[in-house]
Amino acid sequence: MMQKLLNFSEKTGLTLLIPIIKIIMKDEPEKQAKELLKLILLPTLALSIFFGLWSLASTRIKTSVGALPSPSYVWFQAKAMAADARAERVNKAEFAFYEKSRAILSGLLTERQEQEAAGKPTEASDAQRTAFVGDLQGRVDELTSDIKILTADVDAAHIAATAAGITDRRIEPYKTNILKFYQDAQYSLTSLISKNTRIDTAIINLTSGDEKKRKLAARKRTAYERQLSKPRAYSGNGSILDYVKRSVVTVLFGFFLAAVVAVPLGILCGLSKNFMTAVNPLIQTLRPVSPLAWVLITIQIVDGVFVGEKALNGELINNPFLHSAITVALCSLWATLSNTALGVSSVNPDYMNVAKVLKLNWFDRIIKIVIPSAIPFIFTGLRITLGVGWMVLIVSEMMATSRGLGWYIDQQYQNNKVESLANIIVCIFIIGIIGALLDRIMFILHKTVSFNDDEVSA
Amino acid sequence: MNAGNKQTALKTALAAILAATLPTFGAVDENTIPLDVEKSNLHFGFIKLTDCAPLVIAKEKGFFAAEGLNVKLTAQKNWVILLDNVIKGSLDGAHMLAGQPIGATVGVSQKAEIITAYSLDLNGNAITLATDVWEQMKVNVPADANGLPIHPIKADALKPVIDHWEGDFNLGMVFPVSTHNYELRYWLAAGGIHPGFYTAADAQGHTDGDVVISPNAPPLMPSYLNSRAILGYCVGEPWNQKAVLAEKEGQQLGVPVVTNYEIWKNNPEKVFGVTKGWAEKNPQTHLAVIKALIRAGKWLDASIENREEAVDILSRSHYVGAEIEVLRNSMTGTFVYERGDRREMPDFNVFFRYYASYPYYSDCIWFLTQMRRWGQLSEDKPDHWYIETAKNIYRPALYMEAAQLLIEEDNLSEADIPTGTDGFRPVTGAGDFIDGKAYDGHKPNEYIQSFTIRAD
Amino acid sequence: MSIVLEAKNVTKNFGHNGHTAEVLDQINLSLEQGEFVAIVGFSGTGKTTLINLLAGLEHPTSGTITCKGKPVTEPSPERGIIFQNYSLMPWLTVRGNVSLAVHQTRKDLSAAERKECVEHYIEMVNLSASIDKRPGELSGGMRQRVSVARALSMNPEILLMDEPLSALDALTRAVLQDQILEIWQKEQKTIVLITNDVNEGILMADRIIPLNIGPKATLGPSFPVDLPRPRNRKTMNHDPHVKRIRNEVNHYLNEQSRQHKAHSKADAQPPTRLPDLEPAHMKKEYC
Repeated sequence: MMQKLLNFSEKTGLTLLIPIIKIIMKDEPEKQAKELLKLILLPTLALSIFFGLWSLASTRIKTSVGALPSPSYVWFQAKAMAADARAERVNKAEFAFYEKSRAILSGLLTERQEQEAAGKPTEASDAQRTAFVGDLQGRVDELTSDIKILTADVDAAHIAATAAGITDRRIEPYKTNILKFYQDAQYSLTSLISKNTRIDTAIINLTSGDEKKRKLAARKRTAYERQLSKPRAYSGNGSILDYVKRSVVTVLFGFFLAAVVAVPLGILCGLSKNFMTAVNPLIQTLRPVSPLAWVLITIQIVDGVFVGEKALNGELINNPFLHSAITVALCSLWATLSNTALGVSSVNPDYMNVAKVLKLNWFDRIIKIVIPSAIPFIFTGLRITLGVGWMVLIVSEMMATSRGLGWYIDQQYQNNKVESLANIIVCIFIIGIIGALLDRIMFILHKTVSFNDDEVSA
Repeated sequence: MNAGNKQTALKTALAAILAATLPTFGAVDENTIPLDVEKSNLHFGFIKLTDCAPLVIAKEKGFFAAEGLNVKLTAQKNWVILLDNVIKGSLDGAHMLAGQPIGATVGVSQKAEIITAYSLDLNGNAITLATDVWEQMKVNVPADANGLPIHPIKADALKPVIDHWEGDFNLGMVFPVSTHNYELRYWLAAGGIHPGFYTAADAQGHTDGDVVISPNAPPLMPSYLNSRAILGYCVGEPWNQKAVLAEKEGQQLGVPVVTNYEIWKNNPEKVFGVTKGWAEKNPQTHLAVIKALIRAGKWLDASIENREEAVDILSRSHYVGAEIEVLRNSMTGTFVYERGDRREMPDFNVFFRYYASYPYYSDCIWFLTQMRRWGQLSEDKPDHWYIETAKNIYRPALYMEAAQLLIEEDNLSEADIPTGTDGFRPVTGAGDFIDGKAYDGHKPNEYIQSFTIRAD
Repeated sequence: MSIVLEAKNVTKNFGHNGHTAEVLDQINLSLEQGEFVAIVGFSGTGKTTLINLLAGLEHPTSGTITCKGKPVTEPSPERGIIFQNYSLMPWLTVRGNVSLAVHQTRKDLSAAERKECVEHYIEMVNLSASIDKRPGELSGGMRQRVSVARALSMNPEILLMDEPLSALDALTRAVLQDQILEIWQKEQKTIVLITNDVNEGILMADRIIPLNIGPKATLGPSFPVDLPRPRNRKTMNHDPHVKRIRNEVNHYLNEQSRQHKAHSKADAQPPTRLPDLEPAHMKKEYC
C-alpha cells in the first residue's frame, strides 16, 4: 500500500510526498525528515522573498490607476472573486426557479384557454393556478425576509468599514451580490404574480363593462399570456468559475484539434522524406507566427464559414470559442508535428528488421511498429503543445473576445482601477496554477507511455 | 480624496442599496402592454463608457423585462469589433458612436446598412491634455477674478504650444467616424490648428496636419497619456475624470480643457444601432426595445437620486467598471477640470432632456458634413443627398411610434417628445458652437462652405 | 544430409561513388540440415553484415545466397534471427512480443492455438512468470530469452544468431548457452552462431569458421569440433582435444591479425573498421 503510494508519488513527481511516506514506512526517518524540511523550507524561503519584494514594490510603484496592489489586497480580491462565483450559483438557481415557475404558470393559462374554447368549466384549473401562485408568493415572502437580514448585515458591514476607514475595496462582496440577486428574483417573481393577477382582472373585464374596456381587457390578456409563454435564457454575467471552465474547455478542444492535425501529418512527414521535403518550408514559415496574427485571420475565416444562420450561438460553442480554440491549435501543433515526425523517422532500424523478418505488410508496420515506437516522441510533442496552447489561449481569448480568462483579464484592464488590477493578478495565479496542473497531467501520461523513464524530465 | 468625500461616497452607496431594496416592484411593468415580440432573448453590446447607461438602466431597472425582453449585455473590446458583431449578427444591437451607422451606410468604415431610432445621449465628451501641456498653454488663457481660467478654453491658447513643439504632437481620439474625432478636429480647427485631412491615399487623416490624431480604445487613453504615447485625447466619460484622479509625479495625470458641450451645446453623441435587416425581421422587437430605452432615458434624467443609483450600477465590474467617484464626477451634474476646480455642468450628460433621445435627421447630416469636411467623403454631394441619406439611417418615425404607445400606457407624456417636428433641429444660435457658426441641417453644403479649413 | 543454406562467391560493398567500403569478399559457405556452425571473428569484421545477408535483410553486391535451393531475396520467417541487442518492442509485453511473431507466421492456427503456442515458447525459455512484463522490466538475459522465444515461435528451419550472448555476464551467458543447445537438440534446427568467443564456438558448434579481418573480409577454413555432446564446460577446459582446436583457431586468428597489421603499416592506413553508416539517432539504446 505504502509502496504503491510511493511509486505513485515518484511517477507523478509529487516530490514532497516521498519523504513523508518514507518516514511513515520508517525508511531512514532522520534523513527523510531532513529532506522534508528542505523541501518545505526552501520554497517557503523563496516565496517569502517573492512576496516581500512584491509588498515593497506595491508601496513604491504607482500605476496610472493607483498603487500596485499588495499581496494582501490581491488575496482580498481573490476572496471577493470566489464570493462572486458562489453568488453566481445562487443567481443561476434563482433564475432556474423563475423559469420553471413561468413555464408552469404559462401551462396552466394555456390549459384554461383550451377549456374555455371547449366550453368546459375552468374552476379546477383556476384553483390549481391560485394554489401555485400562493406557493410563489411564499417564495417571495422568504426572499423578502432574507433580503431584510442581508440588508442589515451589509449596512452594518458598511458602517464598520467606514469606522475603520476602509473605502477602497468591496465590502461584504458575497452578501452584497446575493442581496442584489435576491432582489432581482423577488422582482421577477412578484412581476410574475402580478401578471397573473392582471390576467385574472382582464378575464373578469372581458365580460363586464363597455366595449372599449372589454377590448382593452382582451388585448392585455393576450399580451400578458404571450409574454409569459416565451422562455428566457440566462442573461447573467458569469463568474470566474465560468471563465476558467471555458478556458480549460477551449484549450483542450484546441489541443485536440492540434493533435488530430499534427499527429497524422507528423507520421506522414516521418514516413516519407519526399512529403517532408514538400511541406517543410511551409511548416518552417508558419511555425513562428504569433497568435496575435493567427487569431485575426482565424476570426475572419471562421466567421466567413459560420455566418448568418450557420453562426454558432451556443453558450459554450460559439464563433469566438472556435476563434480561440483554432488559434490555440494553429500556434501549438508544431511541437507535436515535429516530434511525431522525428519519432517516426527515427524508428530503431532493428525494429524494422524484425518487421521485415516477420514479413509485416506496410500497413501493419505503421500500426504495429512505427507508431507505437514513436509514441514517447508524440507525447513529448503533445506535452509541449498543451503548454504552448495554454499560453496562447489567454491572448487569443483577449483578441477573439471569447468569454474565458483572457477575455476577463481584458475586461478588467478596461475597468482601469486598482481593484481590477488586483483581479488581473489573481487571474495570473489561476492561469499559472492551471498551466502547471495541465503540464503535470501530461507529464504523468508521458511517463506512462514511455518505455524508458530517463526520457521524461519533470 | 479627502475624508469628507469618503463619507459621502459611502453614504451614497448605502442610499443606492437601500433605494434598491424598497418594494418598487410592479411599478415598472404595471401599465405596460407588451408587444408581440419576434425575439425575446436579445444580446446587446456596449463599450465601457457612461453613455451606455440607457441600455444598462433599461435592463437593471426592469424596462426591458416589462416589454418581455430578456436582454444580455456584453462589453465589447472596441468599436470595430462591436460593429462587426452587430453586422455578423452575434449581437442584436449595440451602443454605437453616432458616426458608426452613418459611416457604415455611406461606406466610410465597415460597409453595412445600420439604422438607428434612438439617440442615447447628448454631450458627455471632453478633451484632455497632459498636465505639462496644459501648464504651457495656461499662460495664454484669460483668468477670472479668482485666478481660475475662463471657460470655454479655445484652441487658440494651444496653438503657440504646438508651434514650438519638438516632434509629433500626438493626440488620441476614439474612432475615425466617432464624435470625438470630429469634435477634436472642430475645436483645433476653430483655434487655427490644422488637424489633418483624410485623402484617398491617407486613411489615417494626417495629411497637412499640425498634429497627429490617431484612434485608441477609450479605457486605455489614460494609460497612453501616462506613457506619453499621446499628449492629449478626446474621449467620453469616465476617462477624462480618470485623468484628473490619476496621478503622475504628484500631479494629476491630465487636465480636461474643454467639454464637447462647450464645443457644441447639446451635441448628439451615441445612438442605439441595429442592422437594417434585423429591424426588418424583428419590427415589434425593435419597437419594444425603443419603448424600454425611452423609459430608461427618462428615468436617468428624472432626478439626481436616479443618477446616483445609475452611477452605482454602472460601476459594477461587468458594466463600465470604473470607480464610483470617477463616474459620479461627470454623471451628477458637475465636472472637474483641475483638482479643486469643480464646476457646475448640469447638462454635461443629457439622456432625455431637450428631446435628447429623439433621432434628429439634422444630427445625422451634421456628421455627414464633418465627414465631407475632413475628407472622409471625397466628393461634393447635393443637399438632397445628405437629407435622403439621413432619412435612410435615422428613423424618428419608429421613435414616435414607440413614444405614442408609451403615452397610451401612461408611461410617457406628450411634453416628453418633440411633437410636430419635421425631424430637424432649429438653426443653432450664436453661442451654440465654439466658433459661433450657425448650423442648419437643411443646408449642409452652405455649412461646409463656411469653414476655412476643409478638404477639397 | 542436405544443404539448406548456401552462399556462393558473395561480395558485399557499402556506399558508392568512390566512398565504397568493401566489407565482404568472396564468401562461400554451406550449411547442412541440423548443423550448428559458429562464425568467429574480431569485432568490426562484418559479422553482422554476413548475418544480414543470410537473413535477406541485405543483398549481396555480387554472388548468390540460396536457401533450400531457392535464392534469398528477402527476409523470411523460415530464417529466424536473434539480434545482438535483442530488438524487442519495448511497448509490448513478453507475451506481446512473441505474439507479434506468432500472429504473423502462424496464420493457420486458431486464436486459442496461437495463444497456446505463444505460451509454449515462453515456457520453453522459462519466462512464464514474467509473461506480462515489458522488456524494460527485464534483465538483459531475460530479454535475450524473449528474443530466442520469439525467433523459435516463428518455427524457422534456420536460426541466425548475431552475437546473442556477448552483452551478458558470464553466468547468464552459460545458462543461455545451455538453453540454446537444449532447444537446438530438441527442435532440430540449423543454427548459425556469430560470436567473438572461440570457447563459445567450441562449446556449442559442430564447426567453427573464422571470419578474416576486413576490409574485403573472407571466410577462413572450417575447423570441425568433433567433440561428443553434451559437452561439459568444466572438463572441457582441460581436455587436450579441446585445447588443440582452440589453439588452432586462435593461432589462425592471431596470424590474420598480425598480417593485417603489417599490411596496414605498409600502406600507412589507419586500423580498419566498418564505416559509420548509421545515422546518430539510430544508435540510441531503446531497451
